[in-house]
Formats: sequence, C-alpha cells, structure tokens
Amino acid sequence: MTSRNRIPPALEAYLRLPPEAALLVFTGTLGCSANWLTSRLVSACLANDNDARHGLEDGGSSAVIFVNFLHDATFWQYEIRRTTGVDIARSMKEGRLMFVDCFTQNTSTIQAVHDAIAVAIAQLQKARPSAKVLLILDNPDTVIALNAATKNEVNKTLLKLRSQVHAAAVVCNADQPLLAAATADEVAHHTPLEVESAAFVSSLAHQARFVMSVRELDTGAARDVSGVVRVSRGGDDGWWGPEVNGRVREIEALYLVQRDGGVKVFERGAVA
Amino acid sequence: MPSTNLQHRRTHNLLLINKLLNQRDASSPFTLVFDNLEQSGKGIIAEYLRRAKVAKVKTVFVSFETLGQLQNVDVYIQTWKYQSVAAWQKEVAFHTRPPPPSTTMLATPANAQKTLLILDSLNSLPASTTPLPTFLISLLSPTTSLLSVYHLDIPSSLPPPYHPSLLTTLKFLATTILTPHSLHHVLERKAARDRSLPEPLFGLAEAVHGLVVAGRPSGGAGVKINDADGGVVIEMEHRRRSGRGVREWFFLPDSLGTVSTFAVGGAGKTSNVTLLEDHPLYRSPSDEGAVGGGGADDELISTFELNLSEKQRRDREGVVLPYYDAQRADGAGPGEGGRILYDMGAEDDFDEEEDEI
Repeated sequence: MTSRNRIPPALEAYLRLPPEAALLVFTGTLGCSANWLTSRLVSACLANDNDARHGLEDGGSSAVIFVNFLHDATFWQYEIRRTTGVDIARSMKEGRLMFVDCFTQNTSTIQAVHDAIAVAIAQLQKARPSAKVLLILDNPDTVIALNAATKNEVNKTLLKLRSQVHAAAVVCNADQPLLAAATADEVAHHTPLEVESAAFVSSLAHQARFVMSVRELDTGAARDVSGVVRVSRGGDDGWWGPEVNGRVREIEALYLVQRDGGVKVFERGAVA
Repeated sequence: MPSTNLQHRRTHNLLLINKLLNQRDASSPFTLVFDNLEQSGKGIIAEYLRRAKVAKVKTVFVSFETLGQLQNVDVYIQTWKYQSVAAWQKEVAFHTRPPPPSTTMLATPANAQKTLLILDSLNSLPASTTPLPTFLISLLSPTTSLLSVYHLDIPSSLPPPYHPSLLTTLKFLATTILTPHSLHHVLERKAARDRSLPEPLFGLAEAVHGLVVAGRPSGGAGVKINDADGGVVIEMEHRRRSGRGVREWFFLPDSLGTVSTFAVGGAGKTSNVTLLEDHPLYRSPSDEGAVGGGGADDELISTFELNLSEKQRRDREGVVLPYYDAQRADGAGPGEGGRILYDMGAEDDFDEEEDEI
C-alpha cells in the first residue's frame, strides 16, 4: 500500500506541505493522541517528490526537520512505518529528514533547543539548498511544563527558527486543565504554570493558519469511534498573503484508528 | 421612531468608522483591537493597511508574532531578531520620529507625512523592562497614530500587588476599542436571544476537553453561512475628546475578494463597512417593517381570517346604532323622560302583569 492511500481523503488537503511562512497547529489530549496526525504529516511531506498535489509544482523537493521532546527516533521510525508505510530511516540517510532529539539529548534550556535545531537547519540547507523545509515540533510544550522557559521565550525562539525555514508545524496538548486559565476573568487562582501553558497554546493558535484538534467523543468512549477531529481557522489564515489562496475550509469529522494503524475519517452519522 | 433613529446612526456612525479606519484628522491616536481565537483582529489590521496605502500613509509594522510577506507595509520590524527590547524600540523610534525641523518649517500639519504604527500583539510586551504605558505614550506624536492588537485569551501573569492589570491599563488608555466578533457566532447568539434562551459559548469558553478553536465547521447545527459571506463583525467603542463615548456594531466584509481591485484601481475607495443591523442575515423580519418606513401591509399572522371583505365593510358602516337616537340634544328624542324603548319581537311572550311599560 502506498503512503498516499494511508492518508484519509478528508484530511489530505491539510496534511501536506503548507504555504510559505505558515504555522500549523495540531492538538491532542491525554485520551486522544495526535501521533497519528504527526506521522501522517511527516510521511506526506517525505513521500512524493515532484508531486503537484503536495505543493511542489516547481520541481523542488521537500525536507523535514522533526524535533521531538517526548519520543526518540526509534519510536517514530517504527510508528511511521507501521501506520503509513514510509521508512524514515531511508529519508534520514538521504538527508531529507533530520531528526532532532530533545528527548534523550541533554537539551534542558531553550537556548540549547534553539541551537540544536539551528544546526540541523543549517546542515539540511547546505545539503539540499533548493528544498522546502518543514519544521515539525512534537510537544514543545514540554519545555513550558518543565518550567525551563517562559511562553515568551519559547515563542521568540520559535519565530527565529520559523523565519529560517519554509513553514512549521507544532503538535501540543490541549487538555482542558492546560487551557482553563485562558478564559478565566481572574487569573489569581491559577498557578503561574497554568497561566504559561494556556498562554502558550493560545498564542500558537493565534499565529496558526489552521488548528487541527483531536478530542474524545462528547458522549463517551465508543468501539467504532476513536475521537473527533476538527479543523478550524487559526488567527493567521491568510489575511496578509500577497496572493489570494482562499481560506481554510473548516470541518469536523469522526475518526477511527484501526488496529493495523490505519485511520478512517468519516462524517457524523456515517458508518466507518 | 425607530427608523429615523437608525437612519441617524447609519449616517453618523458610518462616517465615524470610516474616519477611524482612514485615520483622518488624528481622530484616534491610540486604537486597540481586542480579539480572541474565535475571531482574529488581523482582518481589521489588513483593512487599516489597505486604506493607509490608498491615503499614502507610512505604515510601520512591529511584529511579535506575524511572519511572512505582508501587503501594504512600508517598514516591517521583526522584534525577535533583536537582542534586547531596547534595540527594537530604538528602531521603532527611528522610523516614527517626526521629520527634521527644516522640513517641518515648510510642511504644514495638513501635509506632514503621517505614520501608522502597528503592534501586532501587546501580550508579549509586559515581559519587557519599561512600563507599558510609558512606552506606548512615547511612541505617539501628532503625526503618528498607534494601532495595536491585544489577544484576550492569552493570559498574562499577575501584576505586582496594588497595580492594575495590563488589560485595565490598556482599556483606560485607548481612544478607540474595536472588538471583532465572528458573524456566525453573533447570529447564533442573536437567534438564542430571540428565543429567550441562554446565549451559547464558543471555543475556549465552552470548556470542552481538547477544543481550542470552535470555528464554524460546516457540520455544525444552527445558522448556515457560506464562506462567501465571511467577514468580521466589529464592536466599536470610541471616546470623543469631550469624553462622550460612542458605541456601535458594524460589519466589515471579507476583503480577500477585493484585494486585487484595490491594487489595480487605487482610486477605488469603497466604504464597504455597513451597520450590523443592515446585514441581511442579522436583520429580523420584524425590523424589516421598521426599516421600510412602516408600510400599509402590517398584517397579523394568524390562522383566523380577521380581515373584512369590501361588502362586509359597507354593511358594517350602514348599521345605525340605537343610542345615536338617544343622544339627540334637542330633547325630541325618544329617550326623553327615561322611558324604556323596546320593540317586541315575534317570539316575545308579552306578560301583562309583569312587563308593564
């Protein structure tokens, strides 16, 4: 099975190389992991060279810098091959994928994280000057949770890195307790950590082209539904762009992660 | 007279919002946009930039979170590229300073180069060293007006005790506050209000596990809007110099479709802002009569036929009611002396003993 077929058709328009300078935000919760979206985004950007459907009409190729805070390379190598059939070890050998491991390496400060990623960007751009680089950060909110940096510092670092690559995607957690401080009228009874993590997620969403969130079904667990996936426009959905691309289409659908790693996305009321 | 009132507001407040958007006559030196994830304020900024371009106002965009190619921007300052806060503040001061004295001698205030300074997010500022009000006021000058965005759903840490929060300070300082709302959500809230139901919440306020932005997914129930109907509802609060506040709700259509015409035409200065009440989806059927000036066809909607035909109306007018006779003032009427007038019907049974007249 080719990798293209492993991406649900309903999400194909979103899981591909975004336009220049865009930021995509993917959120998951404790009960609903966004890993299946991450692995599909990585594989979609690596899968097809010269494929117009992936926004690469000019014959250039895409490359990915995959920064991880919660898993190591082995986990993702297995996960991506299992769920999408793409072997990232080969892409890493070819130099189309740089894996930055902030999980096992000692990158406890935000400056160390920045330096590690900046080195990877420089290496990749030297090896493939024409490649459009997508920077994917998996759970950078770990840095906030560890109290290693403030939201403003992470934000500034992210902008510095984003300005060096084609586009970026960030995966983070959006559980309700992490976001509660964002809507509170009075922040007095929230801890500084709650305030920082809520501020981080919503400031990311304000910069995003779209926010794709997965969450549990409102009505509780079900055997044939893993959760709800919703795509909403972010705060920066093309108001600035020189060309009129049209706006992001907002959808909400249900999905089911099957035992073999395949995912079905279907409308409410439809049968998986 | 609701229609006259509406007409009055339409004239005055549309003039006002266009004056504000065009930055004419230094009408608002410090404009604040309070947005949230459900409706970004970037559309309003884009509209300001578009109009500034037409009016040949210099635009300085200080970016804390916006990356990429910006349209209609003259100076683009990316704050994250500077080592310290002071470094980019110096850069901003350089671009917004008034022209040197030699040129101001010739230039009258009317034709001096005006500058529109835009800060795309004030949320990142409190971390800086200078107190925010001092910094913001230092940016203003007779030729520079300030437009900035504050995201309401990015919480900031607590201010020192006995100090007002940043939000309070900003609300106090601003001369105009624009709050964007999503048209879809405004309509859903209105629909709920019209049925006396509690108004729905959206996005983060829903407190749904894992939901960040509600948006307007097509699968959702409620009011259906095409993407083509996209646009921003703007709630405006403008403080006049006298201190009197003006509040109004406007609708700003999506500018994406009109970008190209602006680039080519240049002079095509359309004032496309309308009152929210004039939006076809917002206007309710009962308001429509008022807008039309109260036409003759104010018909009741009922399952009964309450109207008269022409013949029924003529018959009704022909009936002479008995008391008209009794009211004749000359005393010649039949009611004189308090007699009871009674005409026997065919079915009446006259009882001599009881019914003595």
